[in-house]
Amino acid sequence: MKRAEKTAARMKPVWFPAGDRGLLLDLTGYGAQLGGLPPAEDRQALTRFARALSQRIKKLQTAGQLDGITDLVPGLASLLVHYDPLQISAVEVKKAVSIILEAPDDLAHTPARTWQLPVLYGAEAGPDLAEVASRCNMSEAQIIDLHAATLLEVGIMGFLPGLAYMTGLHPSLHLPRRAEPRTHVAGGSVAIAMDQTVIYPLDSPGGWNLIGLMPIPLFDARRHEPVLLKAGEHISFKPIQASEYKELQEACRDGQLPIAPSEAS
Amino acid sequence: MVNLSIIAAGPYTTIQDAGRTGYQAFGVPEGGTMDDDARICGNWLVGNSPQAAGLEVYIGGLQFTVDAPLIIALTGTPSDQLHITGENGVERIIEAGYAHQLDSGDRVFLPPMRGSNLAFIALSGGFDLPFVYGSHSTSLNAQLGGLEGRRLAAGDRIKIIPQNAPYQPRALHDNAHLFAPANSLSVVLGPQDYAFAADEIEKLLAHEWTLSPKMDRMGIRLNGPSIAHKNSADILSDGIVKGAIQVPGDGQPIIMMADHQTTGGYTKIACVISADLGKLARLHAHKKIRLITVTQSEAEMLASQHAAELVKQQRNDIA
Repeated sequence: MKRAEKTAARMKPVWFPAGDRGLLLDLTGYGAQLGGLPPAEDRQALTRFARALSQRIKKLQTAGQLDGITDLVPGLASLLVHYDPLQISAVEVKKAVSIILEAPDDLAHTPARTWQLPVLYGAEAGPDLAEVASRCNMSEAQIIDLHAATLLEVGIMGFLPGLAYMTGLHPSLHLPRRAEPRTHVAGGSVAIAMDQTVIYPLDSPGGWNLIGLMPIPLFDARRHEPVLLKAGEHISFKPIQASEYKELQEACRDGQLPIAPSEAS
Repeated sequence: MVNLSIIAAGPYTTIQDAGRTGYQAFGVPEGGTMDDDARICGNWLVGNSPQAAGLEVYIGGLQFTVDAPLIIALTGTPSDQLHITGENGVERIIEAGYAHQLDSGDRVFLPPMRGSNLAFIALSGGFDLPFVYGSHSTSLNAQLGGLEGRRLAAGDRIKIIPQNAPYQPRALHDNAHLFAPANSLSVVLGPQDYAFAADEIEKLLAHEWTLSPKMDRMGIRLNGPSIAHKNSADILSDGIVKGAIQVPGDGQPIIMMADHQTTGGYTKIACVISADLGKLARLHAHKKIRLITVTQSEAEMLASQHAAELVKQQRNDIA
């Protein structure tokens, strides 16, 4: 938590309008000085701060306050407050959130669960693994070991239901996105770019480097909690063989969830 | 139970309601009707709650039958009509903005529309379909909600749980005026207007923009001069509102609509105000528009006025 406090002290949060139904709190204060992006270690702290702030506002809402706030979307270094202008004004939203910002010690660390997600790496499941290995000057086995063992954190969710942007990828695996995005990436594909890993929830276009396939659906409306991963959770990976991949896929067929996270700590 | 049997679905007909509120932090898009004005007015006409689900129809060409009485209304267009053919072959024409009681066996046809790019067909009662995150809205890219997360198709049969309220001959006060095509839209600058030099923002406001045929429920592209960034189009990914005007690296603005992704990494120069989002959704491709700036508090006032205008449209007193 000390870290988030320090980050808060260094932050210059600035409000920007997003129409008449949104207010964006930019934690980097870009409005004043549009420059380079903050360093990676600060970014993870900013993301955590945005998430903690969102949870703090939600707590107030549970207590019956801030009724006109309709949704809260933490970004990598921002918080978007969706509001209903028929119930609350931007001025009122800013005032309420500013009071919370002045007492950052309330933005305590919240316990997070850890998932070990099974991944079938390489070959057809991860068509870019060989290229990733050669660009990183490593063997495919080394890439797999490094990728599976490094503990990642779900920074933000977005783009599609269940899609988690997982930050904290080992520095020796940092690569840009592919110059030419693919028009079709299979759902379940595990992909890396920059300091992040994503898993595509559904078949979709995509420009990230594909290294494997994960058999558990990230989103299944039949499950009690349709979205598998939540922002703030920790992720590592477990390499599996094709036979195990098929078994796990089969086990998920009727909305079952054959894996469980470790308890929050 | 009322069975609605689709004979022809048209190119892009989906089930939509007020959308999903409160789940965007999980990546679940808001979705919901493109034109909320049409949904709110249509649901009032048939006696539903304003949030209720109906059929959102692009272009027209929808045709279906019902096997039990049901109240219907067409909204979101100033001038189009429903053609209703009874089992006895008698045809009735129902103007947009009027409630009408369908009889068992009636066939409903919405021909290709002239007055609007999309319309809403409200039906009394509720769809007998599972709710996903509290909504019946269809999201094609997320493949969820509505009928199996997809567009309706010929041969589909949808069950409707009828409501018990009796039919009332409701109408909108001035449908043609309410849904008249717009020539301009109001926007609030931001959240990333600082990423553009003043003359680039001037470009956004001074030029007439043409709606590109590249439009769907996710977004509407604008054709016009290219808008340049001071440095880069990239930002640290942040949340997105419906109506946000995103300017990617190629400088061609895209207005994010109902099925917009929940977060994105491109600059957003301005956002269309909520009172004008329905107007925008109704415009055909190739239509020209101008963008006018208002402040956030002006936009909030316009939202209240717009909500009041929708209420004023509702009258019970027609013969």
